[in-house]
Amino acid sequence: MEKNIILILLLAPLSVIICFYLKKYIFHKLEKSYLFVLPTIFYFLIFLLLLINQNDLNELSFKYIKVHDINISLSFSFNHINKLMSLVVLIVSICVLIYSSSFIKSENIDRYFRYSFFISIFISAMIFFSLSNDLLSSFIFWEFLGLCSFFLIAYYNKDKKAIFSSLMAFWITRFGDLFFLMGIIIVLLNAESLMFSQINNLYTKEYSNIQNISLLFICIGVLTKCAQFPFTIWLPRAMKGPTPVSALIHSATMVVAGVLLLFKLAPAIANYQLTQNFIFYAGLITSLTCSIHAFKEDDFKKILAYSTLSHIGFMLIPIGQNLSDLSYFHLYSHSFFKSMLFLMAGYIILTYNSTSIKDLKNKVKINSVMGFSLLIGCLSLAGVFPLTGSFSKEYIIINFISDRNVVDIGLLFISLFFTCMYSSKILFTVISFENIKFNVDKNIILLIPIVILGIFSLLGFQTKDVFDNFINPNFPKITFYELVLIQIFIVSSFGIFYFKESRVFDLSKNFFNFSSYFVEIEKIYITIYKHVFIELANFIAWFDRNIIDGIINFIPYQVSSLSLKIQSVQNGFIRNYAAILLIFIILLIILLGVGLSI
Amino acid sequence: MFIFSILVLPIISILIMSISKRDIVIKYVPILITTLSLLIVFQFIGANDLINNSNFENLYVNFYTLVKSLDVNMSFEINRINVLFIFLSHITIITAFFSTIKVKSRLKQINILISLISIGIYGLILSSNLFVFFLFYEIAAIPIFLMISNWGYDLKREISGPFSKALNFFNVGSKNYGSYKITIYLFIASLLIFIGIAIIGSVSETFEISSIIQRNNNILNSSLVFFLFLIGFGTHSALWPFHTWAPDGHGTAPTAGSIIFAGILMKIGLVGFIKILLPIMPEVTNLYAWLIISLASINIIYGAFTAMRQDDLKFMAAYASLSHIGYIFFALMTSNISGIQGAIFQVISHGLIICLLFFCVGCIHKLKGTRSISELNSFLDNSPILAGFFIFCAFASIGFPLTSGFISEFLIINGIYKFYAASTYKIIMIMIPVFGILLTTVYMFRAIKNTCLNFSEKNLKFDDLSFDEILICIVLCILIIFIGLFPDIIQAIISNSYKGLIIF
Repeated sequence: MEKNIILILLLAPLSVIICFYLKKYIFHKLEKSYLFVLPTIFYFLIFLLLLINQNDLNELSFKYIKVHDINISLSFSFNHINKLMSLVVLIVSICVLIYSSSFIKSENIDRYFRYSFFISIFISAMIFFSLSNDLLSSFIFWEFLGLCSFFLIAYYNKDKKAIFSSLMAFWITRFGDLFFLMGIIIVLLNAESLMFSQINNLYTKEYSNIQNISLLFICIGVLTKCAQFPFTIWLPRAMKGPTPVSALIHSATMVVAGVLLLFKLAPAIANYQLTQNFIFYAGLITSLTCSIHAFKEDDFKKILAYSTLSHIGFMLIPIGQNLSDLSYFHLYSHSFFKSMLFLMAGYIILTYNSTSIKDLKNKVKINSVMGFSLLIGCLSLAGVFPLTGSFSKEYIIINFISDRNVVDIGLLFISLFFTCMYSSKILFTVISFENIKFNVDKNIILLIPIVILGIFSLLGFQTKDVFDNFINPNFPKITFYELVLIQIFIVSSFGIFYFKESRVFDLSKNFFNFSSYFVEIEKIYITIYKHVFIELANFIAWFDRNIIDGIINFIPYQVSSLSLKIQSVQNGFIRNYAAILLIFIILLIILLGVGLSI
Repeated sequence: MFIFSILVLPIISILIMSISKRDIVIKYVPILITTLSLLIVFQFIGANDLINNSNFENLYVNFYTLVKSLDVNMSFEINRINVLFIFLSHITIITAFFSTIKVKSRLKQINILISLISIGIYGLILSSNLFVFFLFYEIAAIPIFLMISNWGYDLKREISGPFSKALNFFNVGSKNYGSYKITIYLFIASLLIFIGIAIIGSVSETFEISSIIQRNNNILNSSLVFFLFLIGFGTHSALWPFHTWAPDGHGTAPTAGSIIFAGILMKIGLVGFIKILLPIMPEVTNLYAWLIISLASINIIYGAFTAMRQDDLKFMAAYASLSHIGYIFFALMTSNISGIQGAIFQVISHGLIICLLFFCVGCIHKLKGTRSISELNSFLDNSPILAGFFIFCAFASIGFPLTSGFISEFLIINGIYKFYAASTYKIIMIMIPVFGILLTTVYMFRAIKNTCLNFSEKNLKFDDLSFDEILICIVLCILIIFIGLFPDIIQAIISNSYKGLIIF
């Protein structure tokens, strides 16, 4: 069973290649969308297989490499945590695959192939990553996620900005990945194994500085992949890619992969205060600044991107507080409505051909399918009871308040307030509450995934049940009183926006300035790249060609010019030869005289 | 028999080529014969069961004795590491033959030269006698001069700085300059090695490597001989600051030449290191390990930085291989299991990756008529297969998981960490190779961005690789991925033969 799942995962990208070549060289009449059909079926099969097997399946491990007499194998575990994550990934990715087949149908076959190939590799790699049970296999598939993200952001390669964004995303994530790699190597020599269980076991037992450094390095890797505080910038830029890609990769799966990794390492991190604080403040700062910045943005997709960042910050906060179960809870409840919102944004943008929220004013009717789904999405973003986004958020807030000081709580509430602000901004701008007729041609294939994800976003109670039954049954429940207080806060924030919109904008100008300092940190990277790396490289390249090679050439040059000078002695004139002879005879006599006198 | 057939097969192919007049024979016979020879290597591995059999004894053959009193024998030896190197050089030679298929002028001559080089290389790798080593070394070095000066390219080079007079004097950048430079460089290196070999051989009164190790004469502790070897082998492997032949040589050489330089010639020095320097002079090497490590670190960082600003793809690849060679030297000095294994993996993986990279660059030059990064664009739309292989190279050379680059990188960093485990600088020391990888990412993806992703309306000409080019590229890709997927097989082949290389 386990092996079959692995096999089907590998088969899915392969089937895309085979279909492509069949269509290109043999069956010219095949529809292009066939490239999506087989992977969708395969992933649905895996979904069913994972769903049917309620019990934990066996672990699988493949012998890989031997380092210092330590045998390292790649192992995949089918426990309920990993299975749940894979199921979430599969639901989102099946929806996105259906959506994509219609979304990019105007492209030619080569580009169609490129898209479907990378997206199916991505999905398989993401499921492998979710199932992985040791650091090395996590790292391997972690890198594959970066690769697919690189190609899919650069998909619209006529746009120079898209290429630049993909390159930037790849460089930044690669920077983090290398820290991750160093972390793995340090862990390997300390724990003599890369299995999560053994690492957690060792790291909880004893404390040492080098172990702390290794965890910090892994955290840097996670922060780059999750686009957290110092590395925020690549994610909003990555919105240049196709919208389904943003829905899958840059909201629901790849960017939260790091949270999953930290969740698996949580017992180890619990022992290291420094690492915990590092994660906590990175999460807090990002969730604060990005929610403010999302309110400032006018581009629909960028608002969603910043909101994703702020939510990932929210997921990291509980890890810093040693409550990693909550972060996992928020992780899976966040993914449905966020990917739905992205798909929705894609549909609206495709229909009206504009990404700015101002052009989309009052374009979506409230009593249509789209309007209703958008409503659900926006309310989930803010965390309105009883949608999917609400329970996890409330748990996080309540546990935060009981654990932290006033300043942190103040920052968290500012972040929450702005979360409500940007969701109400989308809600009240795009949706029209009056009953006006619009001529929107309905595309069923685009709508079905949105509806499916919308239904999942409504299942707030069920997500809570999953948390209570599978992840942590003993977690203290929140009281009715706390729940009502938070809901009042959220609803009143919506009210503030609805009635005092311009006033809110005026008041939040200072916040915008504050957040832009944090968000526009990319300028520092570009400056470093241009003024340190490029200048240094220019100098070294010049130095190599002109100084080192110059010295190398200077030696034969001197030899040959010396030989030219010596050559001039032999010029054929008899009087020169005679003069030289005379000089030598005189010298000889003098030397003889000196020698004799001694 | 194995050794004899490997050394004789290229001679047969030379004979067939020189007799035949038909193009198709000249094109494909050397490929077939080298493939046959490769099959013999596989057969050897299979017959001796190198993967599972841990009791394999090194195979030693002495064809005849030249000078009895000094033990100058025509003797060869096969051990586990040699088999891998032989395999690598076969792949390189096959790739070089494939790259000459499209050569229009004097095809016969260039293929004969490549076959000659291959004899030299095989003999050098298999030799177990210092004299034989030097003999085959010279056979490999001479044809390079002819190759560059006949089939090379002229380049332009901007000159400034205090030595511009000397540089202008030599007309730098032309193919004649390139060929002279590489030949003079290599012969000075070989002279130094020759002096070293002569001193060691005459003092120990034997030229057999194994008996030199046994007699353990005092001369083996001499710094002078060590430096002769270090500079000689270092020049060959482009160790900083003796590396300037590499960019000029690669840049001016034809594609086949570049592939052979990077895949084999740069490895000669490493073979010398692994075969001669480390086993017979462990104590002096130990003494100067800091020097080699610092030169290797300079190689890693310096090569990567230089590659960042190159416009010519071949120059970029040349500096990239400079940087990758640095890892091997660094790893050889770490002197623990994973470091040495990492070095051997890196030799193989660098050989395969750089072959593919130079082959792709050759195809780009042929199809698009230029190698300049700033002029090339939109491969992904115009020639998707070429773009695919080129991007694959970039990913392999940044050490992407499941390619051979990752394995070597992982093992090397592990080795370095273990080597410095007791010291407080261990984090800084592992950051050197990691920083090198980061820089590799920067320059490789700068090239990818410009050549493959960037889109221009002007160049909408659809052209792609031909069948035989795709064939060899796929073979190289499969090998790279195979090593990345099943490193334990190569580890089993290396087995315990690294014992002599652990010097601390």
